[in-house]
Amino acid sequence: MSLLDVVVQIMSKPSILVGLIAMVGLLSLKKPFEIVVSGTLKTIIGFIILGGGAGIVISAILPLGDLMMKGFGLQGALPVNEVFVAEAQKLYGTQISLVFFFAFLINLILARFTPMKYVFLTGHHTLFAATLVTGILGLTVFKGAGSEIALIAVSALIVGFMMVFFPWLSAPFMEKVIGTKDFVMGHFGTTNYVLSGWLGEKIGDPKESTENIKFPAWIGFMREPLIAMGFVMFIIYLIAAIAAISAVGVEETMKMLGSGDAWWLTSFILALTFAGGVGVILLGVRMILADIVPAFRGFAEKIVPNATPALDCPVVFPYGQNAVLVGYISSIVGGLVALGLQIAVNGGATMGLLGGVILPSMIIHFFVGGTSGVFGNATGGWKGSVLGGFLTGLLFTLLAGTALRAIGAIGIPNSTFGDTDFGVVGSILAFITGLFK
Amino acid sequence: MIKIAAICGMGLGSGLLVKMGVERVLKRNGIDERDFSVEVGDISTAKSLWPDIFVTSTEFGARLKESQDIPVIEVHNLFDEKEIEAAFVPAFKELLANKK
Repeated sequence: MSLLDVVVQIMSKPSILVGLIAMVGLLSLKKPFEIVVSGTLKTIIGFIILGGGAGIVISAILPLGDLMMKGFGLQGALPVNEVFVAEAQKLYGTQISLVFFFAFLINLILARFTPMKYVFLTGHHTLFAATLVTGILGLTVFKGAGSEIALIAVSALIVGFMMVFFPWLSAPFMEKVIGTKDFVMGHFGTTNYVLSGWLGEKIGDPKESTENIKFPAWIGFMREPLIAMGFVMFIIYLIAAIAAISAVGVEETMKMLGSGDAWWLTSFILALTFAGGVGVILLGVRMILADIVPAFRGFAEKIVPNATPALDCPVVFPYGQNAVLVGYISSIVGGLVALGLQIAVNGGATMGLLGGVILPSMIIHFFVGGTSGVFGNATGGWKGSVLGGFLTGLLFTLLAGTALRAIGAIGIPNSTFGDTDFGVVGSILAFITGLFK
Repeated sequence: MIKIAAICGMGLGSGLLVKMGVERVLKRNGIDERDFSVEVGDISTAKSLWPDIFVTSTEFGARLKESQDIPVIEVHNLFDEKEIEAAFVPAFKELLANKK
């Protein structure tokens, strides 16, 4: 084993790559030595934790795939970005980490030299976008060892572009929500936020605001997306298990669930294991971003000082707390309608005219649906909120379905992307790469 | 060392923004960065963090206050460092004085 071999081994570990990105960032911020060391190590550990969380989640939803196959004859994909990223990094971790790094640079270059002067500070969405684009391109047009550089370059350009384009798109409506130009949306559900704001103007009246409605106090528990996710996963498991039982009987179903316990008890544990696994993934992502995002921000302030920050969607939640809930619930309804459409059009197959079948994801309904609710309310009161939310659930579910054609090739079982802009970009890429076959 | 916890829905995006805001504000007010640490958490696991003080948005303030005796600072605009400074710094300085 030569020195060069060892260097290549070190540099191709995605965990170490993100650690190096953090180290560069910490050094550029002139942090004390012990903070550079601990920050770098925490970032590397975060990446390893991310992989661990993926293992937990996969083990928790694998039986669901079997149940759905036997019970309904089809496979549904769960649009949980965090899970998809955690799984995809095993195949493309090195490339994704490099695209992640270069996308930040492209963002700064574009902000400096074009009228889209925005700095995208939502690190986890940059990571998701990098995974999506690198994954799709890596499996299609840029397959094979010789195209690595092209893969990373093109992917970084696309992601960097997304990081200024979607914030730019959100700017006019953002001003209507927060009343100032201080910041814009840095979140890849922007297609729906803009749509909600635009439709709200047409159909509603901002004076009939959702904030005038009185909700009961217990509704507060719906604001905890992780809990909601575990709960909904349990319901999905029950439905799938009952379908499987009616198809192949209780014994066979229990075997698929992998336990001698009562089938509903195993379903309950698996559903909560899923939620727990997502919690672990989140901890990992948190640790990865903790030093990288502040460093990026520090860099951005020096290179593009007059740029507007593009921030994570919850920054608008205080401007419409009830609107979030209205958007959330409307989005769930829209998503279920889309699911029904996908099942009906596919006629029992896994892939059809509309692409694949997409199961409900409470995280996306809450964050993207909720934010659409706020934008819709700002321009059109409760009507804007309801319509915006409903269209969100409908649109992101349908787009995730069409994008599944390309993502499915990545070979990760039952797992895909959620937020609308990913669906838009993913579907466009799926179409373009399909032309090259 | 004062342990601060920035809480949001998933413990990712907005929590990190608050963390950055708190760190910058404290640095501007002359606090040594070795005197505090800021952790980001989500609302579901917040209760297991046991910080000395919570910082969060108006969305979660009430939920955090109802279960523990730990002070909770709420802000309306998560990105507004002036608001964080006005709401958080006095409470932080009081904690620092009590610890010493």
